[in-house]
Amino acid sequence: MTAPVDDSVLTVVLVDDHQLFSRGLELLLNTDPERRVRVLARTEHADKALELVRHHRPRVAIIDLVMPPPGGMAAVEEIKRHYPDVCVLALSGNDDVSSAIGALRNGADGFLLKSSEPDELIPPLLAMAAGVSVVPQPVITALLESWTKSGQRAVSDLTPEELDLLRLVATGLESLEIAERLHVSERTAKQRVAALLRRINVTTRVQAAALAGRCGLLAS
Amino acid sequence: MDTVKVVVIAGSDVSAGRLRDGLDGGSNGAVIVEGSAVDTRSAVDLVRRVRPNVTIIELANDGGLATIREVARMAPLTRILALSDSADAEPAVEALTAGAHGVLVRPADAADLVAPVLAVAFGHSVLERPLLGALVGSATPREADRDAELLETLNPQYMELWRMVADGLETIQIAERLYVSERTAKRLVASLLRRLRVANRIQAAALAGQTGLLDNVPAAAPSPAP
Repeated sequence: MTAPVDDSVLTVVLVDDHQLFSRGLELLLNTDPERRVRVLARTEHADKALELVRHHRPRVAIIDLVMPPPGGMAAVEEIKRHYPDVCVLALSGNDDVSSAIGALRNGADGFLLKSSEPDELIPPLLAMAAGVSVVPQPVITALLESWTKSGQRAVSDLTPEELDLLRLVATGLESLEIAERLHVSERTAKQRVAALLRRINVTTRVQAAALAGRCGLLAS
Repeated sequence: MDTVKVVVIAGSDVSAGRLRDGLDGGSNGAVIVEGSAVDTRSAVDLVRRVRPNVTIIELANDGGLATIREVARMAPLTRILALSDSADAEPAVEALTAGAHGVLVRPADAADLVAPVLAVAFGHSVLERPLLGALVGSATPREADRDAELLETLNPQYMELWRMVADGLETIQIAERLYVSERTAKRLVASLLRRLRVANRIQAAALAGQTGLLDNVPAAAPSPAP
């Protein structure tokens, strides 16, 4: 049923249980005077989302987060897991920042409110398909806050070697044990640990370990 | 669609020219570049005169951040899109904190900025995909489920003690804070470590970080030298 579509046209599928909205969006996107977008298919059921993507292979899947079970969030996760190259735009009628961040964590490439001006939807879609994430300002504000709180700032510019060393320190290894793992002398190991502590702005190994834990370096 | 007025503030004339050429007239004439500047002072003058919908500011030059702050202060209605040289998180965080509404890595072809510029003009924030990934990663909830039980079984005194240990306090400092002898403090810490099922203070600190026990205090606060 899918007609061949020119490569320059952005192909889209819609997943939304609210038919009026979904049909309206389809009409709007398909009647773009510059013909930049083409809606290939729609579904009202979250559990049909993956099938829809598999069948139509769109560049973008637009998914309403607020849908009956299994819900839009699950559809986002499933599509990104199976088709990481398909760009996923999450939509929601409410401006709940945590559900937006949840969708982004599940792999969504962007999040827009359903109250966005309909004729202003195409540039964000094009930007997203080109690798640019589009989100509402309050989401950025919340992300900045958690970035600062999490202490990521302190570890964000460490080299992979420094991160490994921090992990070793945080597991409670003594200098001699660290030296053995790194195949260096105990003195060198001590110097490296001291330099690392200065880099992350702490004075003791215990504080370094706490920071490593907070930043999720010790997960799994 | 109404036209979107853009001002470009670049690190050099060459770069300003490239951005102007790539953007001006984009999206069927919707994007109009009204002018460009290469230093903060003339940038602010230009923005105040033109009142652009979007101001694009290159972070390449050291003045980039200062320019963002100044433009955000003097022209709060203009939307600011910062262009970075890299996808590193830290410069992007600084730009957003300074007042930018979006951060992108400068594309090879400035025409690729047309859609993001329109998105920013419409009130959205835009971020290079990997940058968003880095920020979202730091917002990931800790895998604390398995530790939740542990946290519940510790009484508030042990929690407080755990925080002190994780902050790197020595036994003598802990003793002073708890008004107990050093020997008692040592015993309490040993008992805490047993309950946490960890071998030493370092592991206790790591676990405190992982379970989110330290989340409401500033990260990596430098402690006074012992």
